[in-house]
Amino acid sequence: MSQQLLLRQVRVFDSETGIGPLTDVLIANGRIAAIGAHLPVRDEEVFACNGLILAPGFVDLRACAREPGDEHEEDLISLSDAANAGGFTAVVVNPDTTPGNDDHAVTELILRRAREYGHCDVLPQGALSHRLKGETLAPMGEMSEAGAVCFGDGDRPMTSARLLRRALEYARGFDRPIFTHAIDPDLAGTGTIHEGPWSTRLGMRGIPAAAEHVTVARDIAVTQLAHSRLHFARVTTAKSVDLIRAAKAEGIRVTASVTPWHLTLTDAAMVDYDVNLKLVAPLRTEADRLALLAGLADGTIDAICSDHMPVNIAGKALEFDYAASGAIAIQTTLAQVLACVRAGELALPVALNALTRGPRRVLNMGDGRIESGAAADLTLLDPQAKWTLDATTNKSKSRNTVLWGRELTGRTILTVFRGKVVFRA
Amino acid sequence: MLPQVEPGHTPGADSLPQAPQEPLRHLLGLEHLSAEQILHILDLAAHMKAVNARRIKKLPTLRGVTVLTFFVENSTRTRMSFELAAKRLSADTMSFTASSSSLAKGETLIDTARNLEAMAPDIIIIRHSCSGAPALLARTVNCGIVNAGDGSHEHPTQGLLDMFTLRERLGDLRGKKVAIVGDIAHSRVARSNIFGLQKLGADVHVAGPATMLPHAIEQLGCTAWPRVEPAMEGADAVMMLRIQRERQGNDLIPSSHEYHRFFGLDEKRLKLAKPGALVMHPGPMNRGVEIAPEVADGDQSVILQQVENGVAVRMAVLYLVAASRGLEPQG
Repeated sequence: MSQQLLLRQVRVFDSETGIGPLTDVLIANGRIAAIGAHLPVRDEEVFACNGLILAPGFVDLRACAREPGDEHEEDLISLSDAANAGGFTAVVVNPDTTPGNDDHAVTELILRRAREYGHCDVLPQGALSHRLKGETLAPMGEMSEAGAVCFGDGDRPMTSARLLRRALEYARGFDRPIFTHAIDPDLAGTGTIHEGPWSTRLGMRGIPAAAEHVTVARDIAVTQLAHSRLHFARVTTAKSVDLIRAAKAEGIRVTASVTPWHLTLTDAAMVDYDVNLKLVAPLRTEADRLALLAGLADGTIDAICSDHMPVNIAGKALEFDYAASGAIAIQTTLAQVLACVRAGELALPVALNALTRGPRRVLNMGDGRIESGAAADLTLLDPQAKWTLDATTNKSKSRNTVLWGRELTGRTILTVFRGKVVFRA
Repeated sequence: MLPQVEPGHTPGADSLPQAPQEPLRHLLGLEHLSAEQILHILDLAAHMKAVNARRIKKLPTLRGVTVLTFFVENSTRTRMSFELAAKRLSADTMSFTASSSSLAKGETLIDTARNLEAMAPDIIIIRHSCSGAPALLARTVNCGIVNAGDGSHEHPTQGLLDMFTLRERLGDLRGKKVAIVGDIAHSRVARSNIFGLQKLGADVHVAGPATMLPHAIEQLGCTAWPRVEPAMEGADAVMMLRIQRERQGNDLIPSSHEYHRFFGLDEKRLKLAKPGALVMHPGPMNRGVEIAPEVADGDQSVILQQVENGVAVRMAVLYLVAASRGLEPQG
């Protein structure tokens, strides 16, 4: 039997109406039982929330669980804990594990492990192609049946437009979107950071912005051809935002997400060759960063994903060229996004929408509104709270982030999953 | 100039050029040095060059200091130049070379560096194929780090010896036009020279096929040309870069032959530069590709002087890095 909780004096965030007045929220039997001012107290556990924001649990469209295969970096339990600490109650996990999730048996394994722990909805992204090789379709039907919510080859670029078309078409029958990491690997070559003044100055091989948006343009055309749904798992350039905006205006069913790194940093941050800023999708320019923020504001970009990529120290304590890409971020995403809000670059409701309703709609999961009778997947936020990601607060098994040890502002105070408190600061 | 002391006699610190405020803890690149720091190194190198002209070419200055050359990318001549420089200052030298990347050897750069550090060298001179590797080392170990070339980033002692050679012949570099020709995108020599020469007031022009010319290069302050002629026109010096066929994916130029025709330095093209303009090359040369043999061996060539000056410049750098760490003078 799950707990009964009474959250006193919260301000409920709703994508339609914004941040509401002070109210109480009663949770019972895993659901929201009542919302109203001054609900009577019986024998439930009471949280005095003092005007903090109560939002629907965040949904992350992109994280790496590293399970199966690399459980020393992360596993489904540590990922669930880190997600909860970051305010997330649902996480799409990448298929590029070892073995990859290209078969319903792997999908079932992931779901069984996550459900046994039961702190977070782990939503498997099934592989689009057999062995993630980009050659032939993976059994999307069986994986859908097992619980895969979308398909894609994780970080592997889709080199074949023909295979992408077939995947988009085939996925229609199972009502699943295709997720892509848009990059032309040929044009990107052996680049490691954004091609521009900083790569030139630092003597680093560059990834031109065009390597992303030529693929975005191609994928939009293929999505239109296939009459299907495609999600750009992370966009980084101004031109990509323009292309997606135009495609949406034409009625082509594309969606997009952006990472907190690309909203807060630019390639100028590469000056120290910090391997923790070596990302699969490189940090771009200030103009790109501002375009991404504008894209969020006008709805061109649907969601903010953490792009959480745990990497063991052995994978990072190397020369920049040899270090593995990626950074952990699922616990810091909120603080990173709130930094944009405090800087006046992003409205708080836009930011929260991109963590709640935006990603749910990409997956056709409804809107996740906080209303009586809805599943109690909730996160209570304090936008002003100061905290530090360090060995005492970190829930991930890895610590590959430039934010390690730095004071951050804004955090999750309480996370509730199916009516159960799964995280408390 | 240094007093013509007998070998074995330590010159007093007061006889050397006054050190600028900022001590040289490491030499990772020229980008972050001031003009004063660069000029100080070059002035000191002039003293070192005088030492190299003596019958007994040795100072006891760095006696008891251990200098380690750590080359993770092959370069016999740069390593020899550094080792000679260290030996002429009476430092003890050791060398560690790895034929391939640290990963291929199964030990990481950081682990290797910590092992080397455990043997207590004072200065580590590193050559590495990855940009930023010396900076990584400087964060990891407590020794002074001298960058002997990192990826496509910087090769500061090459830049310094080039500037030393230019100043020897041209004097003050303010307003002097220097053309750098070749694969600017992948050249650490180009970057160190672009940063350093501009600090000394030179007008730097870079040229090469546009495939070798990063778009953003002009944001470093130089002028870029996709053809060689406008860069050469009226130049006081022309620096030809080695076409490193091993470092790029072979897709930057159609052929060595075509490169030579359009971008190589021959006698005809050299006439575009000022009469008597200096011809430079960091070596090793591909004769008949970036430079015609008759130009490489001609009157205007200072290519071998560059090599000679390299030892003096590296002596100056080792001296200053050791000095910043309180390691001199000894004896």
